[in-house]
Amino acid sequence: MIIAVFTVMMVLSIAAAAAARFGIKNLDIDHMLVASRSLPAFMVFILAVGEVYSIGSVVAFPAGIYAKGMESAYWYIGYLILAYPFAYFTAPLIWRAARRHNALTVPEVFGRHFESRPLEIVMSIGALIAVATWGQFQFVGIKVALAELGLNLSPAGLLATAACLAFIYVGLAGVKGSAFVAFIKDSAMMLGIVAVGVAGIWALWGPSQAAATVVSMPDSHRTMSSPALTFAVTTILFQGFGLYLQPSVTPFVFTGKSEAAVKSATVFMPLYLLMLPFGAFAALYGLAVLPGSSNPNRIFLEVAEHLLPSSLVGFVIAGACLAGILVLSVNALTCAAIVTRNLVPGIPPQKQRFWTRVTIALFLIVAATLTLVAPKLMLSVLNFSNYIAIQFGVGWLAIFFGRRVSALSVGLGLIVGVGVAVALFATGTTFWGMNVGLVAFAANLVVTFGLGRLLTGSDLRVPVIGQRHVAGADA
Amino acid sequence: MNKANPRKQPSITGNNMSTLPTLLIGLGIPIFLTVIVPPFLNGMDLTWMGIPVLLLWMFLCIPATALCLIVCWYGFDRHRYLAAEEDKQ
Repeated sequence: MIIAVFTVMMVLSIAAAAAARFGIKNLDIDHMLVASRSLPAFMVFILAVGEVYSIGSVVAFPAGIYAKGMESAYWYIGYLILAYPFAYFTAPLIWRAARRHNALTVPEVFGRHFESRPLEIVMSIGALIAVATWGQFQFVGIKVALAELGLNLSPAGLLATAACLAFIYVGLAGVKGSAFVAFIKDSAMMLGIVAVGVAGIWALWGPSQAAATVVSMPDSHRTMSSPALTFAVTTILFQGFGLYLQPSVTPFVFTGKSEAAVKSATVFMPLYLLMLPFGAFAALYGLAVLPGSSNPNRIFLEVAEHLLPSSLVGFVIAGACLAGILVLSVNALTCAAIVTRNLVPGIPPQKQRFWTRVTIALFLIVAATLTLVAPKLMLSVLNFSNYIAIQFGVGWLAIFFGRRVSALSVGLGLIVGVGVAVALFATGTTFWGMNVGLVAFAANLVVTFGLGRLLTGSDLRVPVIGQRHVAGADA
Repeated sequence: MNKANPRKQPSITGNNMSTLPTLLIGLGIPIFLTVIVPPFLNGMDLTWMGIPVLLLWMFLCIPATALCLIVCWYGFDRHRYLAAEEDKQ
């Protein structure tokens, strides 16, 4: 039954991707990447939430609460909440910069804004690394979810299946195909989380209980130590600020049809987070009733199997998998765009499709392979991915506000930022428990703006903040 | 690139600069709720039915933040953005 429901959902998702193809006569590169910059606000909304509420919310968030309690719960909810207030102010500026330079990819914005081909290449490589670690995060989650189906497939077989589906979604209709699949994924995922959460609440506090259950959490789960609190606060500020500035998320902003569309899209997004409490209640149920699980990443699905009929379990697993696969497909597209447009431009149009597909396949293989070296707890993978990806935030600040910045200072800043982040992570160095991505970000800031001040003579940049608003109508 | 009617374009709305009130409401209040308040709740170690009150507080921050942004958009920014777009057409 689980497998039957799961299969139906997957077939539906492929049908949705196929439906997105209607009305597109010729799937050119513009359509594939930004749907010709024509998506209305609600589509931008669906895509961006599809990316952000990825498999993390279903698998990683309950796992974090189960393994570490408030230490994980606080920063995970906090950074997602703050991401939207920050995006409310930064998303229109991102859109304006992309529009000013008529750019389809993140490295293009940087290369054109700073008029530097080497910077475009540095940004391309940086973006590929950042997106690959994000893809790794998705694969870890997909592996957990697919394993719950109980099929006799090797991990490699499971990952290959997921990769093929990701390939199909974007192969059919590009980013618009992903937006269509996102509808199905969002409904499955939301319904799944709410169902498990409500079942958990019912089992703990429902009328069948003689006395209201008091959830017993270990002391270490209930309150945070002061280094843990420092980590949480710095992580919330760092990841909240940077969520939309990551190369895996920024391209969604490009697909909007005006500044007003991307700004207003952020207004209602926090409400989507209302599904997090349900995930949290599932984890609390796990702590109360199923303590001592060997793999905390599995806890949400274990609770689902414990509480729900098998048809619903299939639905929940399908939602979780779709969430991961969808994000993978969009990221694969982002990478393909960067390779064919920025790293190796000048590929003749008739060969472009071929190379796009090759890159998508390569990306999926690399990200799947990376899962073999992933840290145990998914939320640690998420942190690491953010350490690298949010280093792009400094470059964006330079585009938004910088006059005395140069291609050299922005490029070196990114290299220093990523280098410091990786070094601190690898050696386990911390500063009073602070998020090491934030430490690297500070180093990045100093190089980008400090060196920029020293290097630029009279050659000042025009930051996008000073530019008048550009409406969607003119080109 | 824009030769819009200057009467309709006071300097600050002309480039959609975020004004101080929207920064305070849209960013200041959410930061206060999610970053300044929680350390105090953590220190008090309060629970309700065994659930840390801080967790429940974070749940409350979700609609509160949406409300802040709704006030910013419908109260301050929407008409400026739409007016700027009409000017273009």
